[in-house]
Amino acid sequence: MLRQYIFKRTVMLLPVLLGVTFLVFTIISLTPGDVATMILGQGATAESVAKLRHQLGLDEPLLIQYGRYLAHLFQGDMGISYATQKPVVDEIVGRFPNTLTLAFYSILVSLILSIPIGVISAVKQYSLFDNLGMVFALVGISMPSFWLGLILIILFALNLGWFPSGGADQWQSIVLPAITLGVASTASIARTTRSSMLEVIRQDYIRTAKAKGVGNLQVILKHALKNALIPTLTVIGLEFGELLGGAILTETVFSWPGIGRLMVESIQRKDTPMVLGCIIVFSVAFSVVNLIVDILYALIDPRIKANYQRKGKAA
Amino acid sequence: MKRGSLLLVLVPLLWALAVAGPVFAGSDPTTITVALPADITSLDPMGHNDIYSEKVSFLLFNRLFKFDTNFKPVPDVAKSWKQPSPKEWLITIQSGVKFHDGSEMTSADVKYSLERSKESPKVKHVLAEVESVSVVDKYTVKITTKTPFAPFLFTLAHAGASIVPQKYASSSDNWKNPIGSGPYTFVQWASGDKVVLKRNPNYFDKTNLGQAQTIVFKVIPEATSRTIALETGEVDVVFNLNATDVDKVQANKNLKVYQKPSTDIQYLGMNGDKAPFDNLKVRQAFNYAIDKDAVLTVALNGYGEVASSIIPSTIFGHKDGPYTYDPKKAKALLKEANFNFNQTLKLWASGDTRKKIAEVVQANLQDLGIKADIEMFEWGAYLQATNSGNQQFFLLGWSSNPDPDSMLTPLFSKGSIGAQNRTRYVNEKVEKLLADGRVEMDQAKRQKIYNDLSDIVMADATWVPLYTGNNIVGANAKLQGVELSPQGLWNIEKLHY
Repeated sequence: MLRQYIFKRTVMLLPVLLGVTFLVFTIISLTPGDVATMILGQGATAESVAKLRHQLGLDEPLLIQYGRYLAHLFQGDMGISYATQKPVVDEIVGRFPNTLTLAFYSILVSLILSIPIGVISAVKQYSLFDNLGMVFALVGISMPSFWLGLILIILFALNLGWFPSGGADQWQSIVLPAITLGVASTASIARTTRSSMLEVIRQDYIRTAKAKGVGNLQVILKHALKNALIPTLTVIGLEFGELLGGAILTETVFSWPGIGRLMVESIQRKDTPMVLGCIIVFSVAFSVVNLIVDILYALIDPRIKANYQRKGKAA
Repeated sequence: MKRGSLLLVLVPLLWALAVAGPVFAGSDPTTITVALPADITSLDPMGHNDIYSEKVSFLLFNRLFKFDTNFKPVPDVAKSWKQPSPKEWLITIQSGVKFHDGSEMTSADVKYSLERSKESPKVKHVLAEVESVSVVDKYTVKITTKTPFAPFLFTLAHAGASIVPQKYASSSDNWKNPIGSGPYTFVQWASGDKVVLKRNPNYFDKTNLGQAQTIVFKVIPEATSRTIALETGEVDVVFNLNATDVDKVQANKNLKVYQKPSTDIQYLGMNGDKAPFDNLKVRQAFNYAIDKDAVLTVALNGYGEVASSIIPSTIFGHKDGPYTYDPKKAKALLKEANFNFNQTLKLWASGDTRKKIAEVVQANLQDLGIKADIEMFEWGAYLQATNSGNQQFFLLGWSSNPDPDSMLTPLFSKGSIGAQNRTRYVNEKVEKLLADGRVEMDQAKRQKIYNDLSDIVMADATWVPLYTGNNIVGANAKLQGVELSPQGLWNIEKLHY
């Protein structure tokens, strides 16, 4: 049943993680530049570079390095960051909640904007609102986030002084980065909501509901939207999953200490254990979000729930 | 009706926000917030070699010596010192220097720290000249160097030579809650976000007590965001203010810009092992061919000084070099060298600023009929590639401590070929002068040695020295105690409102 399904999906995560870590490990190893030279800087002697390479095990074949990494990983040890000498787990545990918070509020902003835009645009198809809504969505997705971020900072932090320009010290800090990211994901969610709503409101049962004398608002919210939400939920899940990987530009502009910035800084420093740590967290988070979305389908749509149950019985 | 209730909610909300105004601006005068372009990498003073971690280390820890405003070594915890022989230093520390856990600093901590520094991969080069350290009495250590070593006191002022408490450093805390003896104690490091320090009221040096109650180092990676944070008052000081933002900050009456030439030098290096730079006349021609003023303008908006020789003007031993921008002379020298104008040279560079400089160099060479392609590298790959010896000519920089030996030996000695001597420069006279400079204790004689060395390297023209950039610090105009040395803002403990 549902529990079995969750178990199956979790087991399937293992090969995904193996593939992802191997790929990233290989790619980082293949990129030019020597880790030891980067750690020690320009002033280091050739001797100390060679010694550090040996200490880090970088003078061994790639597969052995990877094997050792996996052996530690299965014991819950993600390694020590080359750059900071701190355990990767500590660093990620410190940063991931920030990314999660930002992702949550961004998607909230996005939902507040996109669902009404999508629904009203569908109900009032080709109206002025529909056109304006779709233009807004298009502009939202086309605007580079660092540009929108800077504009919001100049307007609301510098000129009006309503919000801080960056950091993560106070609750107000989340507002501008969440709007910046939320506006960007509004487009795809609004467009999906609109098209699936358009499909649903032409169905017979909607006409039947209206004929029965059910109020317009009730028809839209209770009968149409609930059914139209399935594809929208997929898009929301994808957007949220992506946000969990960190929004590098937005995090940089707003000095938000999230996982995206950590990953980019680590890539620049060739800090392999840290990059792998971030990738693993990202992959797991993305998969978990998708799993939750799949479970939500069942909650929203009884037909899907019945499908899970049938499969469970057959098994 | 519904629209009315929405307005009822929205209007007071917007009004409250508007009236609240810039609540984020400079709200707490007892806290000084300093913007850092990048996060620190370690709280262990021997676990990093970057300038931002150094700023934090200098507040948490003491060294035997420290630098003053003129970048000269002066005693920190050292009370007295003497040299019984050219290779031996007897250094006595002050009594009553307390670590943040209340324990007293003794010579055993000094010995432990210097030996620990020699073992640390990141800073072992700092005390490479130290042969041994021994405890003489509770407050005195004897340090023996491998050879007589003139710049020794400079090396003791490096963050990597900080004195750490032996008991804490050998504990299992792994530098999560560092304990030092400095004017500030550790409160918090939120990775990627901020480092918070609190004033140490028990600091041993009452004349240099921390002024502000709290110092916050806030990581703001984006240059524009740093300037905006200064303008909104969220931060009080910004290191490395963007050169393009200087005019804007200067025009703001609430803010102030401080500038001083740094000890950095940016250069165009020419590999003497590779044609056409194996020809002295070609190297000299290139020294006449580059418009350094234009380079400085594109790189830093002109905030710095044009470099005339290998040693920056802020470093002991500086002497002006013989070249000025003179394309005609460059052309004549190229003719004498029978330069092949059909070849296309490869100019290597890394990073946005050096890309801009490379374009100026390319244009200057184009004016003389020389074709040069620019090849850009990612930083890690660049360091490795320029070590390999395959480079023809390239752009790089060096940030030095104030003693010339610390830059000249790595950059121009044959022992550093394959590492920092990326022009693969060899001159036996220079080798001898480098060796003489390291052991000569008489400052006037040392000055002459480095002047002569500078003349020789400039005549050999292995570099085109380009410029020394300014340290540019932006600060709140009301902030007191801002003072720049060639190291930049060096006395953060003195900052206050």
